[in-house]
Amino acid sequence: MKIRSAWWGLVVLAGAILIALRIFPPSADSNNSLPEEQAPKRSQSSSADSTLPGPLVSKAAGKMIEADWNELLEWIDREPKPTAEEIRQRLLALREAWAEMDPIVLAETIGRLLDSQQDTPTGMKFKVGLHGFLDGWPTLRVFLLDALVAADPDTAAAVARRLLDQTGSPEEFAVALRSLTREGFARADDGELQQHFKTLLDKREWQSSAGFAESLDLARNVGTGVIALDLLRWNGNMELKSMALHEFAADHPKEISDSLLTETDIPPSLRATLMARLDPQFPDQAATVDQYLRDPARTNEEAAVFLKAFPLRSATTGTRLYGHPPAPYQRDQIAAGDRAALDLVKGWLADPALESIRPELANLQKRLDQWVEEEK
Amino acid sequence: MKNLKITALGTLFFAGTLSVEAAPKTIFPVKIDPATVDQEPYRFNGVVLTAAARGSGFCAWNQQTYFSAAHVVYEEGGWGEPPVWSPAVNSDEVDPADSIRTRGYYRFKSYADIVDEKGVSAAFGKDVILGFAFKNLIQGTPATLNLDGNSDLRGNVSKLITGYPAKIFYNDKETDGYHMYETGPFEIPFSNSSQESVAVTKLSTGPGNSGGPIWTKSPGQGWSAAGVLVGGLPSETTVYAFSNSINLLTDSVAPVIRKKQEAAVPEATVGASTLYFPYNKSQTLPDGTSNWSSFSVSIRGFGEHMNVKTVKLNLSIDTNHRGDLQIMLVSAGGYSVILHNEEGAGKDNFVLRDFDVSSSFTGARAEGKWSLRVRDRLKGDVAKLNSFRLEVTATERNGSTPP
Repeated sequence: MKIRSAWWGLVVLAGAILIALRIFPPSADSNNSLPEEQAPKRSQSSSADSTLPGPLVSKAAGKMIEADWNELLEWIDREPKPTAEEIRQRLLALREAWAEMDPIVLAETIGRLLDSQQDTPTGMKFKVGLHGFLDGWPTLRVFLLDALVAADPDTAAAVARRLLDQTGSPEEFAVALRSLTREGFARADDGELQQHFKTLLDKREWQSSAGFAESLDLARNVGTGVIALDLLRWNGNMELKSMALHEFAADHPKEISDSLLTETDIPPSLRATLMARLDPQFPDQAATVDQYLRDPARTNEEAAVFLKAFPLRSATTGTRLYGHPPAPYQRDQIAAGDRAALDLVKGWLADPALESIRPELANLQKRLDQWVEEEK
Repeated sequence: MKNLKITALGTLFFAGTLSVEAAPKTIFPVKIDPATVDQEPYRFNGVVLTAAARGSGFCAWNQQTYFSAAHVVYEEGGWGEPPVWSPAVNSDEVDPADSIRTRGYYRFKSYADIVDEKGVSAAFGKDVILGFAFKNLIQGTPATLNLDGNSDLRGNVSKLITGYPAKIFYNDKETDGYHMYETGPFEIPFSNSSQESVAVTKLSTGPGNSGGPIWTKSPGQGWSAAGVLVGGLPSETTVYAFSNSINLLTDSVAPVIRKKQEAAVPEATVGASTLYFPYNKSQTLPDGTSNWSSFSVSIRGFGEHMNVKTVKLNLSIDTNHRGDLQIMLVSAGGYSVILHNEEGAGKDNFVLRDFDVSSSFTGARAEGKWSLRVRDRLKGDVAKLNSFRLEVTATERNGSTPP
């Protein structure tokens, strides 16, 4: 009995220490914490501290997260209701505080809170921010899933997998998937991610939601020919499909090239511009482009769309849920591709079989001549 | 419901219920004094031409980049030829000899924009592109970006719109040729519209002015670009207003215009500073546990309004078996990167020197508690953290570092 009391005493003590640490952050340690300066000289101070693992501290941290959560639920329901912006600021602060908690406890506690099914709408739109973090959470459950990003990756992935099988919310599905896409030990294999993508595409009732739309970034993140084919065959919102395919093709031109030749159901202008993203500095992609243009089934109209865009190095970019914002091209890569494209175009111009598209080829040669000269 | 449509001239107008006569105008575009075309801010302007549209743009951030509106350059149905840029035109014709076929552009867009229930108006809220070429688009330095544009435009600072309207005040009378116009200076405050756009009434530009800049000027300073004109009506003007988030667009374009040999240029420029944060407590790591050990440093000294530009890490861990270790770095706010995942079976000590982890933290708030998390899940080889040091470069949120 005495041992039990002492144990509880330790739990309470650890909790009190944690609370104190949150209210009063560690003070500067003059031995090892002063930052070294580089010009411009400025005065500053820093502190350093460490937390070694321990079950007592972990338990207290879990209780603290649960207490934060319960207080949050009460606060949102209290009159007068907080505004969406007030809720946003509070959630940002909470996410930041939780990021300092023990990462395994954080994941386990979030898992328990999700299992409780408690939820409240926030009045905010689903919005992706920097580095895949959310800037807007339509519900508190979506916020819980977002906060998993700072948690232990393995435990977060286990929580996410449990949720992916059950949720009816596209936003929850989108954010849960993020825990399986992080580079490193918890990343799911391509087969599992492809299966989740297929499940997503089949959810017709989700297709007008922001969560569904942002989830399409998974194709670029996985980058396999299988997922490209699923996207090519998806019969959904054409603008979403086009954007996802172009972002995929900009990052993974080789992985989509075979499907562009073999799939017959792609709208010609989409196929033409996707094909224009192939990089002719690589012999296999140059051969695919050559085969595409010389295909007797290719209409002059489609060829013209292709030749206006080739080699296409414009792109979309912005905040994305799964990984870095698209930045698919580099100067040297574009220059090498343009030189290779010029060689291809010269060959096409010399070929009588392509006589019907000679004006378009001549225009392309003119553009490439200018660019190759400028890139020297 | 009013009908919205995009004209071939590349700007937005309402068709139907609003008439030109009904809308009171207070400010509208007037031709600039031709003698000033080489002066700022006029010299930053250019005509942007595609096969289907004519619009405006301005060279900013880098000599080889220009901003414009997406609806000017993005052809309906997909990607086409990159636009032609004609700098500082002020004549009846665009001279092909002075024009540059640009190499491409990056369009700022999110997937959620496409399904937003506000439809066209939401899409126009973020209707901005950054185009690029492999030669300089103007002589001299490019315009600077005012990343406080969103707040400045809603305030009382002096503002000016420049560009190439093909019609004035949305009537049917076309302007002659490609003459540069200015609207203002004025001080009317804008108000929030949708997403990152702001709007103002009693001010009109005209079709073709889309993509042109709105400039702001504080007392004693020159004009800086605070946003991009993206839409208008008779007596109403909508602007994509610059804020810190435009850094995402410039960061994506930076590799396209940066030559490899220039990559070594120091990152720190005006408004940026670099500080080092060491952790020097040598500590033995618990062996054979699934729990993480956390070692933290408080990043201070930059100021509240500074964002991460770069982060480099030096780290030293003694071990006989680095394959036991998993290591993460977590910033204030929870941004994180996995540094090591039990790779290197049989190899000893884990050492990183000036390891660049910037891509996982760029744009995040610099100040706060950053943690190195380490765990050794396999029993047998005891590891010891010797030290680690973070080198953080932060920039002011209203600053921009061109490559």
